[in-house]
Amino acid sequence: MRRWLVVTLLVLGASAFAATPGKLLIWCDDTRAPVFEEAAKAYTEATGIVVEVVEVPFGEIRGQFITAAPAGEGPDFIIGPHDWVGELAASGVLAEIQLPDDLKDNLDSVSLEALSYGGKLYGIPYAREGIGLVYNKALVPEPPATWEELLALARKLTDPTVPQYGFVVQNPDPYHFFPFISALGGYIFGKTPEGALEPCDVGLDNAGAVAGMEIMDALFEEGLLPAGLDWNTWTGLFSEGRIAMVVTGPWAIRIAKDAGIEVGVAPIPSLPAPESPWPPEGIDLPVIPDPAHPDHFFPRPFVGVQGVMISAYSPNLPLVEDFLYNYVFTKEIMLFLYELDPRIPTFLPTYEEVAADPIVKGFAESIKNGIPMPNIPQMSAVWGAWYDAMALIGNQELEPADALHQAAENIRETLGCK
Amino acid sequence: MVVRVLLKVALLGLFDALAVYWCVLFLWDGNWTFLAVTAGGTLLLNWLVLSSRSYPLRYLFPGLFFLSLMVVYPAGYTFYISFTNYSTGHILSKDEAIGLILQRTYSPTPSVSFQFWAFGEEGKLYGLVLRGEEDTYFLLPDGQLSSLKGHELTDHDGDGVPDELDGHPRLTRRELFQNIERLQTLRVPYGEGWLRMATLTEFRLYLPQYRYNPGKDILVDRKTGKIYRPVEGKFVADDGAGIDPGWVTFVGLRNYIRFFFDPRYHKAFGRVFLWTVEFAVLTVGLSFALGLALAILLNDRKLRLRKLYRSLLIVPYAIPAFISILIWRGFFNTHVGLFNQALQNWLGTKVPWLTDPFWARFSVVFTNVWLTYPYMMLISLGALQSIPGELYEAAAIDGAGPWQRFTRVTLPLLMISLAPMLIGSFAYTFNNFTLIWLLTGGDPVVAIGERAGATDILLSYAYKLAFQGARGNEMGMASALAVNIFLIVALVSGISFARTRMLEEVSRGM
Repeated sequence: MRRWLVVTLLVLGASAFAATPGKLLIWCDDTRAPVFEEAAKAYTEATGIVVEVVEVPFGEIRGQFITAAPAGEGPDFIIGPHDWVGELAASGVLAEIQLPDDLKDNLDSVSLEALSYGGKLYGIPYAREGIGLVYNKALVPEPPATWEELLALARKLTDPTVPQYGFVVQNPDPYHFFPFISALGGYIFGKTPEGALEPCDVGLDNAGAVAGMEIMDALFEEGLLPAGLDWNTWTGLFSEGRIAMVVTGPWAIRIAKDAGIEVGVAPIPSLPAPESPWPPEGIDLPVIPDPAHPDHFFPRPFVGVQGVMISAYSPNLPLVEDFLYNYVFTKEIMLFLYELDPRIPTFLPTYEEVAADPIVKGFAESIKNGIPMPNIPQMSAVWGAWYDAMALIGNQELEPADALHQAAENIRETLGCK
Repeated sequence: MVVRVLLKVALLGLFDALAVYWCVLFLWDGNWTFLAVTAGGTLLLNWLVLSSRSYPLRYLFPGLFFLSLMVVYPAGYTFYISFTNYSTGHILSKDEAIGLILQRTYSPTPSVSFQFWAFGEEGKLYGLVLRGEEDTYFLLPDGQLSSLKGHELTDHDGDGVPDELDGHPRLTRRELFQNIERLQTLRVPYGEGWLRMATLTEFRLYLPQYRYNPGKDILVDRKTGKIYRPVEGKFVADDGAGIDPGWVTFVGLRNYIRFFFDPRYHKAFGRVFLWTVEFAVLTVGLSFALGLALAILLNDRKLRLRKLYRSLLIVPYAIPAFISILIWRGFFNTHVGLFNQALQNWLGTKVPWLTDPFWARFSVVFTNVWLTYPYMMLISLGALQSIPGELYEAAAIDGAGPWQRFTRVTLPLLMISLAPMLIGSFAYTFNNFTLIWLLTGGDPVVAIGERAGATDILLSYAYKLAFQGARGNEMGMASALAVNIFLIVALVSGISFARTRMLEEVSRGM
């Protein structure tokens, strides 16, 4: 396969797309290319080093990089989401990065964690995103401050015969349920003391995850939360102004704007623990208590991060670092990047500038306590079983404790932990 | 005539030149399969065009060529993959995987590093000084490392940064960049590894991480001394730790055995197989019954506006399935769908059309019958026309009623021409991936961790295994499933065709 690729590249005369010493080569998609071209211009002026930006379709970057890099055909660095890091680092194609302290202090720490693998950093984050509570200002003028307020609003505004819903979560895909699973202490993979993810420590069926899903299950049972509400259905209802509050990400804002719905974004209110004290004695759960409300804990959504990953086979490592540290991670370039790819900047000086936008600020506040979505390849064993569990809970076929336990056991078995 | 010959020779020459070029590339790349196919194909083509004896073959060749390229080759390849562990992490050949692993290096801890300065003038490099914690070296631009003895290093301003080496000034940052290409590629042998420029101010020692022993077929991690042995296409240590990537290796019948004996697969496989048969039989049976009934109605000359009805009834067949399936999916939506809105208004209830296993299967069959009956109606209409009217007259004289005429005359005669069509329709429905994927995606979920949902058919299950597996992409398993599907369809078709032949013999005897 690799040879075939080489032949194809040669035949097409495309060998110019490989990293060569003394010249930087970047692969990124068309949204981000202009930003790096801008930075490249400044760098060439200052140093005489040529920087070439090659547009590669987003979906092809990872696959092509993993085969091309070891063959000496790859770029010096690529731009991509953090969940590539596990597979790429495990395949040995990413260079470990030692950030200078002043740059490190200027970057969001959750995002740095997201781009780490096995306790080592393999990427420099530039943008982060995650979900929060998006509300229709016509129905909900002020976002609920507590979970109890949210429930009262949901009960008041829900009428399935219309249909109109007060509070929805897209389901059964599990991504949107994670804040509720994590709030009271559930997690996907635990961590070793060195900070590496431990694939055999599956926390999807611990006391915290079950308590969180019990809260969701009660909503399903009461008929407040419709089961099997997929993206198309809820965005349709939302555009018609029939959904008051929804747990979703920045990608839905555009749909609301196009439909003329005025929306606000707030963190999901903290969740009440089923018993006090929480966590129960003798159990250790990673929770963040809400100082304003006793026995309530902050939901911790998944955080997704975009970053720069450097090829371990780059012949230009010193140049790449010089270019990135001094010409890319600057306030101006990061601001330009935000304009083209409006996700929350991880570069804090730039974030402070754009936080004037209430929607950006709302999502940033929501993911402040977030957990990076695990980037290890073992994550692929999680999604399927987790999805199944969410579907069976939503359809009221299994209780949360059973469903989560079966899913976690299935994941442990798939990962060879039993 | 001359022009035609010239044109023929010119085109063939051009093609041959291109083929020779490709062959050289394949030869140079060591890709024997492609070399053999290209060379053999070109020779065959030349013989076909130039020899007069091969004249009739010229017309068969394109068909045979594309048959082998698009049917025989993929089928053969699928068969081959089904006996391997081809999956995520097992994609390369063993040599490629070892080659990749051997390229890995590591910087020992604590790292051995040297601060460096480059000297020369006008961008022309004279040499470098590498200063480590203990030793200081002189490095020539060609990578030769020697002692600093005999070289004179001066520091004019006393700031600790040397300014001149043997009378050559230190390079400025800009001048350093002009030489960066050469400096970066330097690999200076040092100890067990080599020194490499790590940053713009530092050279660092790197060591190869693994050593391969071809005699024993083991990998040794030089950092930890751990020994890795090949196990099922991957190097694995005694403590179970493995090194990625692995490689493709033969696993015999393991993929097939898993479907029948591994509880993770056999439960799902059995359930999906049964449902696939049910789905195909129900669809073909119901849509044929409906299509035939409508055809008989439309065949009645007493019916007015026959042509209009016929045109209207064919509509489902005329709309692209990609569109109509998505529309049906919208109708079935639990919350906002047409059916549930109507049910809500009339009866005050809702049906979980696509989220309950029974109703989801019902919806799938219902939609597919709607999509398929026009085809059944069309073929039945055609076949009905071909039954001679005298047979009905004879039957009527013999005292047969309408039902008897239908079961004794119409149906047997129809089956002769329609049975092959029904078999084809069965095979098509058996593999109707489009419908399942667009309408339900295989959902709803039946049991946690079984990749297959309530409406998954064998082919969509194979797709899920191949591209959405829990352990990445399990191409080997999916291929084994595809081979199973092929065997099932071949068996069903074989038996049915044998039976059809019997029917034909009966009709010939009539």
